[in-house]
Amino acid sequence: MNDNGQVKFINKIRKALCFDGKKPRPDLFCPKSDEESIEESVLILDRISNRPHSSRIQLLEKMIDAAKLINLNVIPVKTLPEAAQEIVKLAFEKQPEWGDEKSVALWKHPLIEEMNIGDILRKRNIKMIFSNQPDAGKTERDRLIKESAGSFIGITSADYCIAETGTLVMKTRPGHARVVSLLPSIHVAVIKLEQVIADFKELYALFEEDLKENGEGLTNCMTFITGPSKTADIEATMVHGAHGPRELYIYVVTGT
Amino acid sequence: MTRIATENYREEAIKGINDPVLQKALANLQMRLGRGAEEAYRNLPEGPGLRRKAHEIRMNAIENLDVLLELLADKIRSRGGHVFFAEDADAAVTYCLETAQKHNVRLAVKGKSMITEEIGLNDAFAAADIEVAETDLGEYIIQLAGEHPSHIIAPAIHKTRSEIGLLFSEKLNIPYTTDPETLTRAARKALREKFLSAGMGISGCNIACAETGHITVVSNEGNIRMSTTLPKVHVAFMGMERITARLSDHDILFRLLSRGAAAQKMAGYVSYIGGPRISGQADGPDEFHLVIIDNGRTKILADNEFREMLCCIRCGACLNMCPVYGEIGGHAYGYAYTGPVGAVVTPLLVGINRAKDLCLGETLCGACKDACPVDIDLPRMLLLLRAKLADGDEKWNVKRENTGEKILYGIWSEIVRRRWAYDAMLNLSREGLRLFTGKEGMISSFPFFLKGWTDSRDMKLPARESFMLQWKKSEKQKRVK
Ligand code: SF4
Repeated sequence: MNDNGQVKFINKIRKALCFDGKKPRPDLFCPKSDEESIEESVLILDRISNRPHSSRIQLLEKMIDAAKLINLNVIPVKTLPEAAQEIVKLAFEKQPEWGDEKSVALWKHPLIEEMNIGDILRKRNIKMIFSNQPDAGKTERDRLIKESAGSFIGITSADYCIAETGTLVMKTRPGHARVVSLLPSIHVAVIKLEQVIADFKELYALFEEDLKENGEGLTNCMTFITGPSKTADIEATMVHGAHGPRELYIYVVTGT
Repeated sequence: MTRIATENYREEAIKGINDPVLQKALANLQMRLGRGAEEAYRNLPEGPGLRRKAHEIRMNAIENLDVLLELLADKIRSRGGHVFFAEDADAAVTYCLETAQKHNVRLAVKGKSMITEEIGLNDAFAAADIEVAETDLGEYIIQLAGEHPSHIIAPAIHKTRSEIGLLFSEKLNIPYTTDPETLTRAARKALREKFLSAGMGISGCNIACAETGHITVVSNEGNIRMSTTLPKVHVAFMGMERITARLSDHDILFRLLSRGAAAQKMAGYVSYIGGPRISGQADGPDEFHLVIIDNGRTKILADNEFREMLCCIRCGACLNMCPVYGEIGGHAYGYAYTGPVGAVVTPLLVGINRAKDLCLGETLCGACKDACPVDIDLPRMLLLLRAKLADGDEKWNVKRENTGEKILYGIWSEIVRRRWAYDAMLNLSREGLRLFTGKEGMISSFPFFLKGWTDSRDMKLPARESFMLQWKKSEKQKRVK
């Protein structure tokens, strides 16, 4: 059987570790082995779901502060139409990086569809790029990549946003193409205030719950994005937009 | 195929010390990142003690590596990914090359990864006439210049902006400029074309997670996301030790990794990758291959005294604090791994005798241990390597380096155990040393093998009377009074 060298490889490791199969192993995966951390994890989930609006606003303020340090724009808006307005303004004002044609790549996501910015963009000759997920075959893949690479703005949502660092957390699902947050020069994300959580500790607690609860897991590709692309490889001078987006805007809908 | 140049340590170290550009860059880097990391640790809510916890997490994984790797492989295969176990560098390189040839790949894009340096992947691809483009800006610069990286995190620190300007104007056909922003744009454009046309993306792996079956890749530039999203085939390489059991372990490790590596709270991009794209997804690679590499690591694993080294997450924090690295730079270390981590890992991987200068060159000051996010006791292992060099060691196939030295120390230890012999030797040398008195009453040149003592410094003459003698005299005087 061709096991790609696995059995031999693993046996070599067992030998190095002196495992003869008799010594008992610790339970490596028991999510929370000690009482204390079971309690802790329950507390964290509780805290997230019962967080009052005022503390969520506090988290948002914390995120705005963290964002400043990494040239990330976090912009609170009261309603979704207000976010739509801001994004349209951005699309009018900013100039494309490659070529002169303006096009915007978008996720198929309820929050983005609800903004309904298609008509107004089209009127200004701004093209919209979507992924056609029902027939996401090989040619569709090539098309989406090519057109996203030509887009100057990419609009996504996210699963969560972490206040402490300003990090967007995105899983991969049909319609939520990875290139939309990667290839365009400007990345715009729209999220709701409820998606803002305090720190990574909360995030990993939520994942653990997720693994148990709904089996979606992390999907085949989950990405954390913290600020626009950056490099300091030339004489330690900070430059944004090394390969990924040069600018990143997060609109947080706070509700009225 | 792997490039090992550890024998040139002295030569390269002297070159580094005499290179004013490198000296300035190193000082700047250590100031910025070294100090920054220290402060970032201090500002952790859990305090610097969190590093100990991280050490335990890593050690627990290392001690159960067999189970974790099996689980990782199962999970990735269940999502349609391929997993290959490579015993050595050749097996890993051959697998990747064959995969590339199967898909008629002409161009591969690569994200910064030390393990591919370790196994010499680029040379093998070049020999097979397949272009490998480095995509991290620093590595891209180094590749254009035909050199090798000198720092884990900042590979091109030894280059000035005007050198890079010249290089780019020649290779990328742009007008000469020294503006980092314009230069970065030029590289962005050139590499964007490569990303979009490459048939294969190559990456390393930071820390895999067994429980969920994912590898992780980290960058600030976004180049690794590009390499792992755009090409149709993604091949990831990981050293077999780079894994933890549980997802929640990553919370602590990533927070420490970002702080240690670049003094930031969180790296720009972190991706968890667990397989190729699935139906309904419009992008991501069609094929995903994970190559898990031993290449000498089981030998380290089998030795309890060095096992700890496998906890290393290759963050580069120890380089940013090391006073020796801060003077000689990365090229002296002659292999993929530089600085204190290189001084321990390289001898273990390529042969302790062969890379002896690396561990002899470090100072044992302990700065690297304090800098390490997973609290690895590098000084202890440096000392251990030196002991093996002094005494020889069968298990590691080490020849005793210097028999003369061993004999001298043998004699010395006999002398210091006898008061009379010790006093006699002191009296003798006190008088003897006066024979070497040079200008200004200092000793400035010893003959023969003792030359090393006086080559770069003068020695004071010993006092006429030993401290013990002076003490006794003064006590006597007190009593007389
Ligand atoms: S030894 Fe520690 S500080 Fe050095 S690279 Fe490894 S993990 Fe980082």
